[in-house]
Amino acid sequence: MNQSKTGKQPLYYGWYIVFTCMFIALVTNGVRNSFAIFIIPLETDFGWSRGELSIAASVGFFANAVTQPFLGRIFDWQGGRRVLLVSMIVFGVATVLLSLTFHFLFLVFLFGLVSGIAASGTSLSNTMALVSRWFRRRRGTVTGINATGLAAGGFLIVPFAAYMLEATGWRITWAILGMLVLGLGVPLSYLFLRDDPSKMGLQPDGDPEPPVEGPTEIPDRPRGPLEVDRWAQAFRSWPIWQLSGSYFVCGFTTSIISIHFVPFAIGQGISPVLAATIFSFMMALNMVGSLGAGYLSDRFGGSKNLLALVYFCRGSAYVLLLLVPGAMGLWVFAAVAGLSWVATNPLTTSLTADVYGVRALGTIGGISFFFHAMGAVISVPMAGFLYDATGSYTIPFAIAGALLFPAALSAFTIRERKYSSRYAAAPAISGASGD
Amino acid sequence: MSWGSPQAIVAHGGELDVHLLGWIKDLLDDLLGGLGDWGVIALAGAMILVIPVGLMVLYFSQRKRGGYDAAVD
Repeated sequence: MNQSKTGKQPLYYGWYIVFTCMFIALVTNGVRNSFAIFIIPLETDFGWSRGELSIAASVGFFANAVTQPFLGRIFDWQGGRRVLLVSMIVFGVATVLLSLTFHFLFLVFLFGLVSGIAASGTSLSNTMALVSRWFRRRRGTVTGINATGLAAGGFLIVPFAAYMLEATGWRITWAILGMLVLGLGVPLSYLFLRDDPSKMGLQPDGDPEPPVEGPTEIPDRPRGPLEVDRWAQAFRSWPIWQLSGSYFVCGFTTSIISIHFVPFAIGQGISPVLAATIFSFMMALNMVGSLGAGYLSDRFGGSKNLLALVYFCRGSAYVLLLLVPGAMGLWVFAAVAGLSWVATNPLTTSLTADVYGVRALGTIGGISFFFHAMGAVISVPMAGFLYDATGSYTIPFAIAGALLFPAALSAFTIRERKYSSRYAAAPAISGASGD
Repeated sequence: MSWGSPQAIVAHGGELDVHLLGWIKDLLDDLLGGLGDWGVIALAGAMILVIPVGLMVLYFSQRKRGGYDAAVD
């Protein structure tokens, strides 16, 4: 442990990692989220249809979802610093080059493929895997801080880009967004990101080094019975399927709301601006939910109980949305769903790290995020189809609400006390085994 | 609302609906309209800079006091 010349302990280095990762989430997600503001200028300048532009976005979505496990594998193999740094550079360069867009395929290639794959490298699953190496006792809190970058990006970068576009035009705005990544994100990542506390002579959480006495073969920390060295071992046990299954439902239920909440609200007789206000309120609560859930899981333990509670509350919010008409139902739903929206990220990741360890966490987290993405892929068109068929959102929202209760049960029945390293009383040396 | 375009699918981890963004911008115009485009850009830009600048200031002030001798790989 380092000590400054003044005798005070310096801030634990892991906190630099956490806030750098939060900033990475902020800029990369903010830039990706900004795509919508470029749609109208691109339509105007090139005559492309909304459907054509949607292809670029959907290619980006699928490239991002499919490559996340692979980028996670490279993360585990090569270390987080390299993956994040290279991905940030590629992402920034691609964003700058979007200012030169001249052909539709150019846009699909750069925004869809290159930027989509690079965004897999900088994804929450990778940054959370990195911060999980630096913290053990405060893992929920730091992954929660990391996840707030997701919402903060929408709140800061998107308005920044929208006003920049009005003031300067879409080409300059793409270039400035890219320079934001290259000029701030890349130097910050280069300066601060380190793969492991042990490489700096530090312990997770900034704890003092354990005394060296007796046989050195004994691990210096508790090890959970399912801790794995290879990702495939994790999928031979139940908890990862329980977590990934509920994560699928998370993607399913949040994506429906992303797309269909405002049309549903307008259908209830609410004005578009009020609907947007309620939606913004819901997004603002994302940060509170993410920070609160992470902190509470560290403070009181029982991450799986909290995760189950989050799914249960979101399910109840769907029920209220269908039962309470008008603005009141929408506000109540926005409050509950907003708090639960991103809260699942830190809880799922910290629980995965606690059960399976951090050596293969990049890959395991990437696969979990893939399940989440598949939930989104299925739910949005399904809701649109059912709306067209029935003229109402009742059935799709009822399906979403109904899925959340089994998801809550799935999380609740994870045997956390048996498998989590947080509850492992004594060091034990063993590999993964089934439940 | 139709089936939901492929673009719409990405909303949770990606792009928001273009109309929704327009309405949110109208809200921001109401709230921050007095600042003008460049005023809002400067405000948002300053908030974006808080984390990187704050981290650098903290790091170099602690390093100056000898806090991170082993920090550089």
